[in-house]
Amino acid sequence: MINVSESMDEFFRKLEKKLREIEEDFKKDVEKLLRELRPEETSPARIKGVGEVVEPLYTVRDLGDRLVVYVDLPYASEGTIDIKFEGRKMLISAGLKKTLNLRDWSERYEGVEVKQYKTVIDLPFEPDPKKTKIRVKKGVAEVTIFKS
Amino acid sequence: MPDTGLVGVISASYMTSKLGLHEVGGVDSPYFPPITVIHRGFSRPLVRMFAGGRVMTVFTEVSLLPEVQVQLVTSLLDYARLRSFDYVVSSTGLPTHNRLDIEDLKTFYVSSMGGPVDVAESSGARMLERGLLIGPSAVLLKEGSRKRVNVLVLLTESFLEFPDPEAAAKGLTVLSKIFGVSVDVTDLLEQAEIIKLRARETMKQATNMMSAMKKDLEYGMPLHM
Repeated sequence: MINVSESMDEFFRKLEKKLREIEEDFKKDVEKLLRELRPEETSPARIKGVGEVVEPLYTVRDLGDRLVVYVDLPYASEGTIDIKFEGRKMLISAGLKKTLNLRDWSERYEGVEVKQYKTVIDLPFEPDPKKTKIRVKKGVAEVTIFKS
Repeated sequence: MPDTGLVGVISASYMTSKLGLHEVGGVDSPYFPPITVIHRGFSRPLVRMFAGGRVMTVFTEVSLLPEVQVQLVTSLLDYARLRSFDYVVSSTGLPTHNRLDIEDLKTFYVSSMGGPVDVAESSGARMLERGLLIGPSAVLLKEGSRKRVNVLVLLTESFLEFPDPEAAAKGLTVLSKIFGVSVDVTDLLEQAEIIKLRARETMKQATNMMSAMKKDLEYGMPLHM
């Protein structure tokens, strides 16, 4: 025969175990969230290098009904500028007019030749290609993306 | 100091080289980041000073914290007053929304003494009547006014976050006319694309610092009419 006291003990043991599991799951969720919010603190340190592909400077302006992305592509050969969209990402690449040997700028860049610009810009929404305008002027690509 | 479109740094660096100015000194401080500039095998201070004839240029390519900028500008104005310089001039950029579509860049000016400056007007600059200035030029004007030093800030329409050698060339052209110092900007315009490419990392640093200073407020419309 099981007495009341043993049943109560069993109940509280199970409850305590369940609470520990919930606490562990909660801790894991919080740690995961913090990792996502602070990738630079948890991922291995990255040191910026210089290779044959360089990232162009860009800026995004929110004009209410549209976003305008400006990408600075000095010394790019205009015919090679390529802008594509994949979901919420904008992919930009462009070849330089001529391969640049960075040794000419500093001896620290011996053997480094720059040939291309490339970058990926995250957008806050998926653009509609029909509502997107692109123009290139003075080595700056201007991409206008209407919100809806 | 790196600021809007790096107009000031590009102007000072080009002017120094074009006028063949010689390095005469520099500024160092425990408040500066632990960086030294190596030039022809010699260690140089972060803020470098060049002189020749009746011109002195002072510039750095490294972005400094806002509080350090204030101390540096104040010290430079004290030095200018001590040496009885006629004018302290800053040629910088004025962030402009439609910069991409502007072919004929305008240069504005503000003087620490306030009001119109005839020689600036006759050299093609217009007085900036209202607006906000943020960064080293703002400190120059405020401190110049307080210490009674003639400061002239030239502001040429430019990109905010992209290096703008074209704006630097326009600013230098106006500056040349005002002070009668001939600076031929042909080479600057010819090398503009390569300068922009080389200046990417300096511009990135400057953009981070400008964000910290809320530099984009310069785009805002002034409330006081």
